[in-house]
Amino acid sequence: MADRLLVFANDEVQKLLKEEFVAVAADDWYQRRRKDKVGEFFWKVASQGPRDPNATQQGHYVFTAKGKLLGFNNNRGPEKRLAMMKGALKKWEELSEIEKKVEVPKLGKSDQRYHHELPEGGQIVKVFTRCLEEREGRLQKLAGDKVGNQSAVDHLWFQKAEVEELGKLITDGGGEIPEWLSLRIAKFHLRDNTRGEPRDWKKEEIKEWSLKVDGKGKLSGKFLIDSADGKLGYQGEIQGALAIGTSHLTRFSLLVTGKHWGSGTYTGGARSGKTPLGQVFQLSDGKEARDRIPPQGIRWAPGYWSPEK
Amino acid sequence: MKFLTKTILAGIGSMVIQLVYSDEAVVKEILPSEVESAWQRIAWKTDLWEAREEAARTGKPIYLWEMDGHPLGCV
Repeated sequence: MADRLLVFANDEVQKLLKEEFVAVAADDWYQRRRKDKVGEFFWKVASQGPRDPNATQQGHYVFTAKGKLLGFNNNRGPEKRLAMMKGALKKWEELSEIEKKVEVPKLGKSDQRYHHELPEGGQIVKVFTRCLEEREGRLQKLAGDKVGNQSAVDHLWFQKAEVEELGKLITDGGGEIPEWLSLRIAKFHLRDNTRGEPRDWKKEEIKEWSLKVDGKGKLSGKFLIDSADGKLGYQGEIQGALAIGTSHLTRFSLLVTGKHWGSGTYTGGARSGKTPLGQVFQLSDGKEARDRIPPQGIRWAPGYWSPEK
Repeated sequence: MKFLTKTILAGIGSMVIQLVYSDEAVVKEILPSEVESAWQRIAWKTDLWEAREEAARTGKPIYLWEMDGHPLGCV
């Protein structure tokens, strides 16, 4: 996340990327595991870099469409990144036309274990999360731009049949939100992802939960999620609105406010004690590639789609 | 969530503090700022094969941002 602000908001980096490169971003957890043409091509590139092949391959790579690595680094900060990009461009310019050109074959079948797409007719809700603090009598973002202060983003996915089920619930006058959605939100989306990858909550860690919708689509609820040792948790309330047209969400807006506590394996550096956290869920039209990125919690897809199991 | 005034009770240990805030103001605090969204001005692809095809077609090198957890949508 720091790269988004420190590097990719930099004017010179943006200009170079737009004019001289084809920019692509990917989740290494999937990419290094894929047993398909994408995985093979990625490993062709990554194996030329400095990374241990038995560990993460994360970093920033520049390479040709043929798969020749021209540059790599994993430093933060625009200066080192720009130096890497410019060095790679120099190598690119020195290549012969034969080295630059390639006939890219058809992709063929993707490894479905490590490649997730929104199901046909499905819908996307963007989930924004930010650490807050109370200043001047109101909740505000933290001052300064250090890691953890920025707004984090994830995506909540719905299947078409699930939307239809929610529509029927409203038509019938409302009631408790079905367990599949309650648990999907609780386990995979009510999380502090502002400093790194959070872990999924276990069902038994959801100590208190209520989320209901009325006949007009108004959503309200509250929750307490707490690890067995009490060191990691989140407690708060949910309010929002849900509207459904013809088998299609036309609105899904949630505001979650509460207090979170504790650091996870990849989310170190949490503030001490129980401190304010806020989340906003907003319906997305999914037109941009960045909006169609799979939910972080869908790595094991059956668990995401059927979180009650 | 327009201009509703909301009161919540927030517990910190045994102490209970009453917070009063405007929902819309809180939503604005949580959503990414313009500066935080500046990376979106880059037309990031999310499919390496599509990027490879475009690179071959346009005669450009590929820049890959690879992270554990998708860099555009995990944190």
